[in-house]
Amino acid sequence: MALDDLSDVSDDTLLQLYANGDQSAARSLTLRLAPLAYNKAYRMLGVQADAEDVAQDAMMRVWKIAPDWRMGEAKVTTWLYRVVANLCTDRLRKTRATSLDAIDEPMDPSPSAADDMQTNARNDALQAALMDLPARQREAVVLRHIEELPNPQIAERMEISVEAVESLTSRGKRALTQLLKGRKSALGFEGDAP
Amino acid sequence: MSKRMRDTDDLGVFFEAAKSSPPAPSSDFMARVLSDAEAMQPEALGVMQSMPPQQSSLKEFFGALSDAIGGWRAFAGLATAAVTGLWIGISPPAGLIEPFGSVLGTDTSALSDAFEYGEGFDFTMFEG
Repeated sequence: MALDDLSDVSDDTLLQLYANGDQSAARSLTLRLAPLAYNKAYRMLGVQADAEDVAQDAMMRVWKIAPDWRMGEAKVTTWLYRVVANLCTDRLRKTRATSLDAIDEPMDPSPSAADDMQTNARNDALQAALMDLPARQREAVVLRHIEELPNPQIAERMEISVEAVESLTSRGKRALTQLLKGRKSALGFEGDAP
Repeated sequence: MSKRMRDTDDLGVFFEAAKSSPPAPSSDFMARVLSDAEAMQPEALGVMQSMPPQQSSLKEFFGALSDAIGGWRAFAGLATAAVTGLWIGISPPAGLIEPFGSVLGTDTSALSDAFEYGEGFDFTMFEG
């Protein structure tokens, strides 16, 4: 079966196909879920190697649970998100003193393009500042302002109240503003001004 | 524009940058995950998937047979009769052997005599 044939298939149906031995389902789930897991892990950890380890571990749990997955009870992506968040929390506890030096250097796929360089520089500055936030604030800010999820959905994912989400994102943004204040000129803000 | 709004706008620029260049996983990582997926995939269920037609037809066959002869009680009766017949064949009771033994003696040719039809019997007698 070609990958395109499974593009409209829901995640939990793909899991069922995977559990029944369908190899194309394994490929589709990998392409669909592994980047999500990695993306979330990277935003939480800020280090590519750590994010890959956590995402791979989380995906292992997907493969293990597939035969027992109960259709319609939970969204696969929500479940995966919780697994990644828990694994990241565990890892952060072990390496609490992550310094900015440990954060990866920016990866620039097209160094000749000035705009891309500026975007990447801002992205990396934000990631570095995010790493200075407490883990729960960081998680809430990423979900609200980068993944653009509504507060009730964030509350569900983080297993907290909507009010707690609002409080975390508000404090997180204030802290980010302070952290990034000194870097505006270095990141080309003058050029953006009208 | 107030300072607070300006700060929010600035943060928005950072968030836009983050959204437009999400961290991309390496191809090596994707290959490792796919390798795990293939290694962990339950093959047994894949084999079973090719079997159901046969299992299903057998089940249907016995289901139909059971309905035709009267359900599980009929199966129990058949099984009892079969076991009894087998037991009599292997170990016939003395009361069954002795009368035949006295009639037949040791000469096996007497067997045909014992069951010989009467004189003048012919199957053609039944024809119209």
